Amino acid sequence: MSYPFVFDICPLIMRTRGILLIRDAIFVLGVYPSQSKFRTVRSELKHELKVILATLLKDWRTLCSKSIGQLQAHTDALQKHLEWFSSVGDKESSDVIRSNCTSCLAYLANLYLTIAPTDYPAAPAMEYCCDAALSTLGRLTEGMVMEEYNYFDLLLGVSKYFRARVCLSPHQRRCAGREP
Amino acid sequence: MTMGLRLRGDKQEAIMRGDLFGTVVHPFFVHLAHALGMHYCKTLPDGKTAIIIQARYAQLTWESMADISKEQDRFLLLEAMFALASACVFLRWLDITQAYLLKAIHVANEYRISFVPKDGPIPVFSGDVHEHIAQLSQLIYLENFLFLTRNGAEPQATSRLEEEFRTELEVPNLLQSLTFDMTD
Repeated sequence: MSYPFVFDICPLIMRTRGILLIRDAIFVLGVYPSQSKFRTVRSELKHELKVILATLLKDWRTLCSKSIGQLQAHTDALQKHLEWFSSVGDKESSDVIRSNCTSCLAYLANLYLTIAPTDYPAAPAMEYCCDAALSTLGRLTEGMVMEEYNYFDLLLGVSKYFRARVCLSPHQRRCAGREP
Repeated sequence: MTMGLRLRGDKQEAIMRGDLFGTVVHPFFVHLAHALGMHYCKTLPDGKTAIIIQARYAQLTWESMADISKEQDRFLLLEAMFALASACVFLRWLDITQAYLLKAIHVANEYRISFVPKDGPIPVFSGDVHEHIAQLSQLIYLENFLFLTRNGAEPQATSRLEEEFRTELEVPNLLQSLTFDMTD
């Protein structure tokens, strides 16, 4: 007999669930060898650990995909505005929008680059999107003074920051079954 | 929440109001909240008066605890013991924490307090049920917390509750529900 309630709304219960997972993980990994009682490795927990790591990966990918969608829509809208302001000859406004659009495209390209290695089946599509974003970026920045946007600011800076937050370590990726 | 206590909404309000009538919440929780609040309040002067008042609240807390021990409500006793254990964790009195936690677990085991009632139908979800389940789950949490982070004893005392927690509480595990292919 069990409760039919949805318990993921109860933080304290989820917290207990979390600490049990951690404890089980510690026993499985043998971090506490002195606790001889818990040396018995439970295979289902090993699988659970793998699932946790895989889930982290999946969550991050979901987050990236969501960000990409939003950013892509925002960038498209910016480009339309840019075209309109350029067509009416409003240089000041179009410069502001171009600057904004450039940042968005740079960030977008980095998101594509970040998600591509963690999403193997969609990697070619991601690379194509990244190329498209970079092409647009190049076209937009043709007439711009680039001193204020060096390569590091546009790409590597964002990329490093984002990758540090998103990517799993090689060990985690191996545990998650993503790498041999 | 931080202390691992889950009380019904009206009980929380009563504590905040300092309601000592005992109709909504036992005065023990009010006194404990006052004593702890004074301990953590940084704006209070470090004078003799504040110490005396805080000591008075602490004394009232122990006296209320004695009252609870005489009452028949075993779950209330469990809650009070756990509240003291949680408070002691915050005060870094780990031996006392362990002692109160074991007492709370002992109450749960002796009176067979369970996540799911053994008799009768499963109750509908309510503030009381939420409080009941959260409280029992926190016994498991605190014992494991002490074990993992404070060199506590092996988490054996809550083994019965843990088994129930795992089997009878269908906590939706998002991690397990994923259909992520692990082999690609």
